[in-house]
Amino acid sequence: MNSPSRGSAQRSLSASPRNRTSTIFSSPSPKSLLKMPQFSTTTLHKKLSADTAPVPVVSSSKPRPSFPHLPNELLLILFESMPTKHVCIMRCISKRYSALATVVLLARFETKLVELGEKITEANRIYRETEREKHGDLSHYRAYLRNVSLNELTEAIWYSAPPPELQTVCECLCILKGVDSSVANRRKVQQSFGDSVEDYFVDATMPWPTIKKCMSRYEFKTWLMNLRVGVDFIPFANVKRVERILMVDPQITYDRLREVSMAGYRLLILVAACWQYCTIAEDLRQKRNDCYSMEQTLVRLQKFVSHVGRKCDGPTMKSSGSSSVIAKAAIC
Amino acid sequence: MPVVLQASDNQQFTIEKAVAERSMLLKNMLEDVGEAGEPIPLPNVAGSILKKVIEYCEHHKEDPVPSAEEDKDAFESSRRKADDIDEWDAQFIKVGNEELFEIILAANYLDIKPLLDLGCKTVANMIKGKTPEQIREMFNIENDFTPEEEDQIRRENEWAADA
Repeated sequence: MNSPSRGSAQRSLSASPRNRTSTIFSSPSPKSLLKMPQFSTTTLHKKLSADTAPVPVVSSSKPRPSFPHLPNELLLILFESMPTKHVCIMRCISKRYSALATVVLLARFETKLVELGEKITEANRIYRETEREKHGDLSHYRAYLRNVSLNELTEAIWYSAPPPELQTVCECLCILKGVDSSVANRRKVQQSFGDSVEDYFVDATMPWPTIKKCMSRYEFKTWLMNLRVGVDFIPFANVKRVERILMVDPQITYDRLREVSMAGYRLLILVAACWQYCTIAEDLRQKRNDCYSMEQTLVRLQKFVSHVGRKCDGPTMKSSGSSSVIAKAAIC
Repeated sequence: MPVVLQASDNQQFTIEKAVAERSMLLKNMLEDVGEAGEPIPLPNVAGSILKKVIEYCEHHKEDPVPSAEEDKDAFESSRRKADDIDEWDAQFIKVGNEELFEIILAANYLDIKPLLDLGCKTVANMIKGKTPEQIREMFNIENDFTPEEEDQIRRENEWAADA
């Protein structure tokens, strides 16, 4: 990686204007002192003091702007400690800051591009594998949505007071269709947990007249008949609501519905098929979106690196050492 | 064995060796030249700043010294956690801009990485949420871009924004 390390920053510290006042440790790095011949403390002090120019006294009456006077090496360390978003902001400050921040970003992105490339390959592999695995399941659940008969619907809406299980299944269908009455019908429930009583909200059951009215519409019947295609357009939030109802209500089982109403049983099969299909489809959609989003990021980063890196002598960025990059940045 | 440090304004500070060794520069130097007891001149650090640095080192003298690899990892993760500053450190670094940058310079010169990180995090926090114009104003930096150059940088930044 060409990222300017602290070590390199310190090694080149001697070149910065700030450190020209003293050469104590500017030529050899602290580590390299280990390799130097052993001096006595007095000899060392004499040697050090000989090269040491007095530090200019700063007038306290006129505060000097300190930040811009940080040497490039320190600014690089500073920028390296910032998240990318902030480094981008530093590019907008001035030409010097822009050049230094660009060096940090290019070094960061060089690694990031490699990582991102690997992540995309892995994400695509997982997506393809999952798609292959789940293809059969999707076809299986979609098969239940073909040739939907309206007889069950007609039978269900014939009830003036349906069994609660059938009403719940019909409500699930309405939710899948997108009939939104949950917010209006949310009700506060108080439940005691030991000594404490807590309030929480639950989706109230849709009133049967609302369900009946909704299911009697021509539009609903068309939607149900075309569920094989329409299932792909059911918002996943609606599916989650249905999932909650099906999982929470212990009465909603195939056996129970078969006992209560065959129409309800067949409609439950439809609801369950939609739920299963949409859950798998959502998983695949999520994986596909992740791949797409990462690919978009990759493209944008490549654009940045190729555009900005070219301006800053891009082709040599990879081959040059960090110190020469710093030098180039400083010249920029 | 105490170590005597001499600041640029000739102020002298006598500190424990363990405290001095928080600075890699002083640690290596003491290993090289031994403990002669004579003041070690630090002409790049003013007395007031050296006092602050010593205060930091004294507080952190018991901290484990991270290995190079650990240090790199810590540095990488610290970039993501600019808010993650110890309470004592946060109080310690509550100083004016001038002093903050002097501490950063001293930490770099004396090679005290945790202090350097602390300074960098603090500056990063200072500029968090600020516009370029506000940052320029805060640190008295001149904008030497032409409007066209500024536009171009903004466009380029959009490519880098979600990285």
